[in-house]
Amino acid sequence: MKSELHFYEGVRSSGVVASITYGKSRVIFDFGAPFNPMTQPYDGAVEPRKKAWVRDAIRLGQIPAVGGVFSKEDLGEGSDIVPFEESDLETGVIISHLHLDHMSGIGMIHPDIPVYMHRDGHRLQQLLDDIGEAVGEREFTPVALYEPFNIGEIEVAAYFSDHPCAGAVGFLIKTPDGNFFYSGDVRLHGNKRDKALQDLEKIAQEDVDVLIMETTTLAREMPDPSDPALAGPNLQIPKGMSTEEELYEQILESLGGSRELALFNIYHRDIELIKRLFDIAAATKREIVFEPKTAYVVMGMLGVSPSITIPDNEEYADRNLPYLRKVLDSTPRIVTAEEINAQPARYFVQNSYENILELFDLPVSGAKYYHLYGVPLVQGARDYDNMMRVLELLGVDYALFSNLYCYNHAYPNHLLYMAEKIGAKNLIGVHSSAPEKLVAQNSRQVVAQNGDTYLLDDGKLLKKEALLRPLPQ
Amino acid sequence: MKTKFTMHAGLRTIGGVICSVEYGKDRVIFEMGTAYNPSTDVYDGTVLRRSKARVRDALRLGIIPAIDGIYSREDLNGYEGLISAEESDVNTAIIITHLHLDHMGGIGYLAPSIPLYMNENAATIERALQATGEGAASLDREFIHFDETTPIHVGAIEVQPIITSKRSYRDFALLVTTPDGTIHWTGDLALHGEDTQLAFDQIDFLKEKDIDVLLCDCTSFMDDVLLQCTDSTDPEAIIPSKEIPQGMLDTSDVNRELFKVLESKSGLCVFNFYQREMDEAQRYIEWAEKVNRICVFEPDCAYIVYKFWGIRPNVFIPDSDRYPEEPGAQAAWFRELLQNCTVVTREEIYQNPAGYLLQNSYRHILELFDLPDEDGSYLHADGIPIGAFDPAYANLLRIIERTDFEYVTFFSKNYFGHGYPQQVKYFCDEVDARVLIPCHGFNPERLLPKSGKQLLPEEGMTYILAGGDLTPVR
Repeated sequence: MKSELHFYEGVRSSGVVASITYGKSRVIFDFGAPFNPMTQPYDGAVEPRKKAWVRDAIRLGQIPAVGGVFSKEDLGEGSDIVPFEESDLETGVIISHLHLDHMSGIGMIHPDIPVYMHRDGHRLQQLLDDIGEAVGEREFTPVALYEPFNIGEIEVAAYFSDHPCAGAVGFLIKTPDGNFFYSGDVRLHGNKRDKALQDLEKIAQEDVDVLIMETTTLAREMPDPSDPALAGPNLQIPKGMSTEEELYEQILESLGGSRELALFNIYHRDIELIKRLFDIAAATKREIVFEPKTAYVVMGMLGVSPSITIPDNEEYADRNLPYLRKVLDSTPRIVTAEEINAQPARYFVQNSYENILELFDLPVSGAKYYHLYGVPLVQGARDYDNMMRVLELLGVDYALFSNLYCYNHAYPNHLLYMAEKIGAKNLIGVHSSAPEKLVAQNSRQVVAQNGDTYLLDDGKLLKKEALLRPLPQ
Repeated sequence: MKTKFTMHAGLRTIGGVICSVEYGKDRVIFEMGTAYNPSTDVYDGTVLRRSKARVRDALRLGIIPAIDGIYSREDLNGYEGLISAEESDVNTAIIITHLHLDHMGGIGYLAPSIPLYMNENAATIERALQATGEGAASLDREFIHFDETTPIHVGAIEVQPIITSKRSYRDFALLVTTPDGTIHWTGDLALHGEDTQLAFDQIDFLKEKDIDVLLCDCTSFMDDVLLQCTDSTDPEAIIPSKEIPQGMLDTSDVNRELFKVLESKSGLCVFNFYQREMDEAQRYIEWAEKVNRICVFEPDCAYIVYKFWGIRPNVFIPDSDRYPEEPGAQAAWFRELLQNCTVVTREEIYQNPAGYLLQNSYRHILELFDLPDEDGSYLHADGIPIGAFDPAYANLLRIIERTDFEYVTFFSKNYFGHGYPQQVKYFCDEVDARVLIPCHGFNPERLLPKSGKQLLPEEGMTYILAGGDLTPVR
């Protein structure tokens, strides 16, 4: 038997969905939709269907047509996709982290297929379920770093990744034919770089045959492309970029001595970032205030109950929602708009995009607004323009503190450093529009396409014939 | 006492014309619409509407204008600079010409104490919309009915409604007369619709009245429509004419073309229309009968059909949380509908696709994935998203392209719902008011008067009506 590596999606975009099959055993890694806000079909007017949601996701290209994963009922009559019930494969799905482009489809997977994620991510997912951000009703299986688990004859183990999302990992996937490593999303300029480097050493010891590596930053131009640091593998910070710590220092510096209100817009799955916002609030003698949903996540992940504001909308109309009840019962206090208006410089307040109109009641003219990876993310998209119109109307001092495509992902020279350190026999770039730019000295480069299948044979990766069945359009 | 005129909104937007005419302590406000601008609508599906602050937010966002005395004290709480309805000593009446959102989408923001005039047919449809959660106001909002037979009096101000369309909810123009003169608002103006004679009757009526101020709908003077009609954006090149510009269609042409498509198809035909247009709903029912099809509506629209026409409609129930199967979870209107309609199932449509003419609104467009599309057509009438100016339009086309339904539209090609430029110019020249205020479109400056003067009022500025002229109060 030969191990087969197949790419369904995400070689040249976000939303990696790939599989490794050995005999009747199959591991699928990551199960999300490409991040594409410019062509999002659910635009607020189009209503998601209830019974047909899986079929619609496949039809809309939001999840690939993977055989043996979806239930017969969800696929409906007349589908040419093999349902789980008729598949003889033993499948497990492993999720590198809980950013939506890596896991938005996991609720569509048949409940009898185990879905594994790091235990921190598992805890986060339970909290997200409670606040209405569930991706479907099903159970997930928590795993710990380095503790191998089996999916049929395939052995899998998680390794640490310093991505800001709680529980981010990469996976070492072993079949009798050899070792694969899927990086997930990676970074070597974060505050846990040392831990990431330690695990990099561990992975390097594993004699990896195939490294499947994210290449997000290779599709973007660095601020100074002529920077010599970008020319080879090293751990330098490219000119114009910064470390995670420097980002916090910049916020701290801009906030020091400010007499204005400070606001932040975050992705509340990024728990490490939230931790540091507490530090910044403490250092600037401001009270940090969260919206109730994020406060619930903070309570569950960090074990502290923060102060909250309650936005004036129907999401918070029912105070008896279980999660909201817990927040209300444990929060030290509810901060009102009147209090913030009376002493704006005393507060560091969360404002998510859905609640942006709350700013109308706050002293926001000249206020600092730190946009830290909360939606909307893409300049030029309708929602981003909308956000900017509201902020400009209010005279907010907007600060986009980092480049989405670079800050959360390893810089090009760091990617090279990781690839060469692991020194896999074969190297495949994924997760950007320029995966072919990932070329390491000590690995054979394989430029893949969605739909490609490869066989691992004695350390060599050979391309198999094209997919038997074309993907539906 | 002098007559004061204020244009609060709608000079350079598609719809949203809101003007007031005040005499002493009496005031008439005509229209309370919200300008149609989907590309910059703050409520994009993610941003949440606030509850207690909804009126203040609408004011801050420019959705409704800052007018004293029409919003409640509770709603204005914290909004500075406006007198609430409770504190105002002005006797106000608000009059709506017709049931398009750009003419009445803001009525839900008004204080409940402000009298609101609407034709009875329009109010019936609005009530049905309210029941399904799509109304502009809540169910407790009261309406005073009016029609063309009786003028409305607000103190010394008289408003004569002039009917401009007898279709379902009725359309009106409004002639406002005060002791100082006359101000006429065309409402939506069309000389190529199915009630064209009413527009010519309006001209004759206004000629007799010697109009001081004419506010005229000039929507079609925007670049793309003007270029289709005249090959130029030069206002001097617009030759007034009663006739429909060459190459453009009138409403009956469009209907004829759509019907031809329907006749020619051997598969399922779906249609997307503005579902409050009950005359259109009736036409689809008639068309279906002519070609041996059954016309089927989605539940929200079917409820309006049932309430307005008093018939038992055929209903297809999309796969949506809005329409739960469990009776206990169903909204009252939906339960009522189910007792008074005939449900057509997906299976029945699959068995005989050519036997149905099925409504498909943009909200439920994904239903196309589970409908028989072989030799099928998607007839796009006037349902949102209408054209490329709406970001949703590209999404609509992308989704249809994933099916085999043939997309058919006449709406954005050689047809326009508002009066064509030459015809609008003809209308204005015939009336020949002393002051012409073009409005309700992006390019009001292009509609030139015949012998009077053109005025593009500053929004929010008060003008005094005297001697047949409007003079700003500085």
